[in-house]
Order: sequence, then structure tokens, then C-alpha cells
Amino acid sequence: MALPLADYKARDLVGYGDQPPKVKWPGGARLAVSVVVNYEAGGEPCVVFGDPRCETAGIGSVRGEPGLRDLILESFFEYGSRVGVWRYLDIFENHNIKASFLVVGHALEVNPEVAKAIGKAGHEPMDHGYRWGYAGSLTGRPREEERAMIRKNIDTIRRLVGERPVGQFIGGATLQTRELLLEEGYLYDSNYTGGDLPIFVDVKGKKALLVPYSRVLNDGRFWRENGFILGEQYLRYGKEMFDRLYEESALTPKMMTVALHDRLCGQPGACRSGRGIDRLHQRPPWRVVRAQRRDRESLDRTIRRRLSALCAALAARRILHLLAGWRSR
Amino acid sequence: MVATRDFVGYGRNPPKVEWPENALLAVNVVVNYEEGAELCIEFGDPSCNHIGLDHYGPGRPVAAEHARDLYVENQFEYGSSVGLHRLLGIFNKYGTKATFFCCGKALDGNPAAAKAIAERGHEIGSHGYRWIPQRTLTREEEKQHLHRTVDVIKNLTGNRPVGQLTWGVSLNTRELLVEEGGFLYDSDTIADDLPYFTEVQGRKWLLVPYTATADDYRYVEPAGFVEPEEFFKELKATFDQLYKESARVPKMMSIGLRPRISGLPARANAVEKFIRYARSHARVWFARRDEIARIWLDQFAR
Repeated sequence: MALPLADYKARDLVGYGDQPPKVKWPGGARLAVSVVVNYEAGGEPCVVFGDPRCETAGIGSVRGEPGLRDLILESFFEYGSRVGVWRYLDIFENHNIKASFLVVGHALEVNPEVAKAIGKAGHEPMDHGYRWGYAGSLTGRPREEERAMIRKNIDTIRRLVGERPVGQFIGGATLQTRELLLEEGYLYDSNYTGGDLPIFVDVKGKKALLVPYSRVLNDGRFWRENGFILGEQYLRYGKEMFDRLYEESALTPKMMTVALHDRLCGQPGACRSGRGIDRLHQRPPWRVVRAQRRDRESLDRTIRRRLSALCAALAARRILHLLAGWRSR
Repeated sequence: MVATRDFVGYGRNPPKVEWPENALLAVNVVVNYEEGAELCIEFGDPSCNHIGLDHYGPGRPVAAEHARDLYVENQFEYGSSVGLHRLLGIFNKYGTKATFFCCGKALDGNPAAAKAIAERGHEIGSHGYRWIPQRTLTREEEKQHLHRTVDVIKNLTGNRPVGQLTWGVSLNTRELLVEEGGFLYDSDTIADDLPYFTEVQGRKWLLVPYTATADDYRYVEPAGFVEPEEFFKELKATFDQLYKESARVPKMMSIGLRPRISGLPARANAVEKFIRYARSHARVWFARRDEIARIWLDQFAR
């Protein structure tokens, strides 16, 4: 294979290096924790929706054969909207957490009650595409087609949740996506796992804010290679991540993201009640607030709503107890 | 021409090396710095790298052929921009000196990293120019890549590399290394725990083995580690066994890490926990690979 020894081109392999900026999180917090729930049920490819074949990722038996319905896989997804999402909404309400919901537009359309509940509870709707999986992938779309898809989801979310999304994470996002998000009034782009902290990047002369997503503390790793098998593994991973970032945040405030899916950690085994308060209560006083998905110069109304006392649904209420050491300011 | 296979090795009686500081077990931490050298459209490659990744989407988005894949690129960028510094911080905390096998192109893309690694006293060895199986290169290409990597390391740090570990060692790799000159050893073997000699073009050539098991790549390979504690347990079990054996014959332990894998916050805990564990034992020496190579050459090269 002839490989060019070409000079290095435009990828940012350096980031902040060993000099990350010191952000000031609200209330003197040193660690911002963002809980993100992927709400996808009804967004996935399905013959019933006119797609050529059904989704294959998850429990199913048809394996995406063209034109065939896969009733088991369809119900696997339906679990998320019928049962899983309500578990999350209840947990967040019980612990006074404001989360970010990565919502698929079509999923909201087939279950508007969930959309209303998300809006009413004050959670942030994030753009997860009007459709999901191959039906919603942005990769390779002509610019105006992608813009139309983005606009359709902005409108859908605004109509059903009550406000438009200002952040996005979608599989298959590209640099074209990044440009379009700036043009379509988004505040930040979460199609990014290249660092721990938000970072500005140059997009054709304008500044775009990237807010990182979570690649390992992500329940999408259930049923994936080397993914989590038990909910408690997700919990333990989250604890390890939290411990180290919390320690590092003494020097430089940090951020962590807890990524969940409606049908995955919404399953009872992953969501069972935890034991009592964790060792966190023995720690020196600390605070956790929801990530402010914005530049650090200002807090706008949207961000202020996302502040909360506690965080991290994780695999269970246990992690909520884990982070429940925060007390009112 | 590659030496034929040796199934015998040291047999029942490995040589008894004398490690410094009265140590019985030498522990070498390897960091493979590959980030920025992987296949990438932006670098002019035909497609993006699609292996060795953390998969977090039930339906992993597949980038269109010949398209950039941010999902993949980001995982590597995390390593070079954040993971690397996290690992350097941990090593610094305990005064641990490691061996960084660096892809030439990774250093080209992050010269500050090369300097940071060297300034902290770590060894920089060659990891090939690109993170690709070396056997996919022609002999001439591999020679060019090697030469370029040596130059990059020399120019950025003032010191040339004396060791190499590659991915997908070819039948030419070892010969080219010897022909290039200036190298003392390579680590393209997992056939032993201890260094041993082979023959290249009629002369003795030192191999300092790498590890098949105590390698964080297993986080992203099938049937691999899920939790950091599992990686720690692997390291601990390996250490415990070698430590026990080292009472009879001094031994060596190798650990393999990557900034984009063990540099993640949770996984870094396993690294730190292991360093603390190993340090809590007497007669353990955390060594750079080139130090080990020099000692072995000094004591056994005749």
C-alpha cells in the first residue's frame, strides 16, 4: 500500500494540551455532570415507517431482511417509550435533576405525551435527528438535504416539547453538520468525544462550541463488543470516572457526561433501587451541577434551567445516591 | 531472511540477570503513542481506520466510503490531547520512567507532545511512521518510514531512538532496523518474558519482548476488559506470578498502554492503582526498555 508521507493536515491532535482553561461552573462547583438520555423509540428504521428494512441493532431475529417486520426488535424499541423513559423521568423528578434528552423527532411524534413530559419537567431537548440509525444518518447527505433534515427536527421538537434544540448529537455527523449547526442557530455541537472539556473550534472563520459526549460511560455499550454486561459494571465505571475527574477538578474544573438510552438502562435490572448513600458523603463538601452547554462568558436562560443539585442516573438509583452528597448552597 | 522458529528458548534455566538497585523484578511500562498516525482521509488515505475503537452506539454510524469519520477521529484525538497528559501526570506523580513507542506521524502532528515526553525522562522508541500493519508496506516503503521516524524523533527531542515496536511486523522489519543502524533492540516478540537474542544477518540481535496479555488494547478487542478493575486484576496477577518467580530468577514484566485507551479517566485508575501496587513491593525496579536492553547486552552479549 502506497502511503503518502504527506505533511500533517488539519486535525486537532493537540487540543488544550496540558493547559486546559479553568472554567467557573456556577455556584463554585468544580465538576459539572451532564446526564443525557437518548430517546429513540419510534425513530429507528422500520418497514412500518416505509423504510426498506428494519433496524438490526438490538434483540431481534429478522436481521434486517428487506421488507420484513421484526416484531421482537420493534418491541425492544417500544420498551423505551412505554416503560424505560418513564423510569428516567421519575428518577430525575425524585432527585431534582435536570437532564438533557437526545430526542428523535419521529419518536416524539409517535408518543407526544413523552415530549410534553420532557418539556414540562424542564429537561433540555437535544437534537438526535428526525430519524435514527441508517434512516437518520447524516453522512453523505447533500448540504441542503441535510439542512432540511435538521430544520425538520428543530420544528418537530419545538412543536412537541415546547422549545427548539440548541445542541446536537447524531450518528454520522460530519464537518458539514458542524457548519450547518452554526447556520441554524445551535449553541453547541456534541458530535465530539475528542476531549473532556468544551472547546471552541474554527468553522470557516466562525467559532463553534464543541461539548463532549461520552464514549465509554454510555449504555449503548450494553450488547456491544466488550460492552457492559451488568448494570453494576456501568455504575462502577461511572464511579471510577467520577473519582478521577473529581480529583483532577481540584486543579481544573472538569465535566463528565453520563449517557443513557430509553430502552437500555431503562431496563429494570439496570435501574433497580440502589443501596443507601455512598461513600461520597464522607468526602469534603463538593458540588455538582449540570453542564452548562454554552461558552463560559455567560449563562443564558436555557443553561440556567439545566443547573441542578445532583447528577448521574447511571445504571441505577445507586449512582444518584452516589452523587447526592450535594446540599443546598 | 528471518531466523527460523525457536521453540526451545531458555528452557528450564533462564539466565540470571542482575538488575540495578538489587531488584529482582524489572517492570517496564510501554505507552504506544499512535494517535494521529492512524488511517485517515484527512491524511490522504483511502479510508478511515475502523478498528480498535470503543463502540458506544447500538447502531454504529458507518461513514460513507472515502468520507471522514469524526466518530473515529475523535477517539484518537482524545488520546493525543488529553489521554497523553493524564498518563504523563500519573507517571510523574510516582517518578515512573516509561518507554513511549511513538509513531513518527503522531509526533509530526503533536511536536509539543514529543518534547513533553522527552523532558519527563521517558524513552522514545519507534512505533513505525504510521499506525498500520508494517507487513502491508513494501520493503522500500518500510525503509523510508523507518528512516523518517528516526529523523522525527531526533529532530524533536535531540535523541535518536534505540528500540522499536511495530504493529504487524513484517519479514523485513528486523533487517531494516539492523541496516538502519543505531538501534539496540526491538520488541516485536511475545515469545518470552525475558530478553533474548536472535540472529539477524549473521549477528546477534536483542529482542526485549512485549506482552500479549497486560495490554490495554484488550479493552477494545473481543472478550476483553470491560471495567478498569479487570485490567488492574490482569496486571496484578501477572505481577504476582512474575514476582514470585523472580525469587529464583530475576524477571521482567511488560505493560502496554495507549493514551486514547488508558488515558480515559476511569481506565487511568487501573494504571495508577497498579503502579502503587507494584511499588509497595521490595526489589521492584520500574525501568525503561533501553535501560533493560543495555543491561542485558552488557551482561550477556558475548
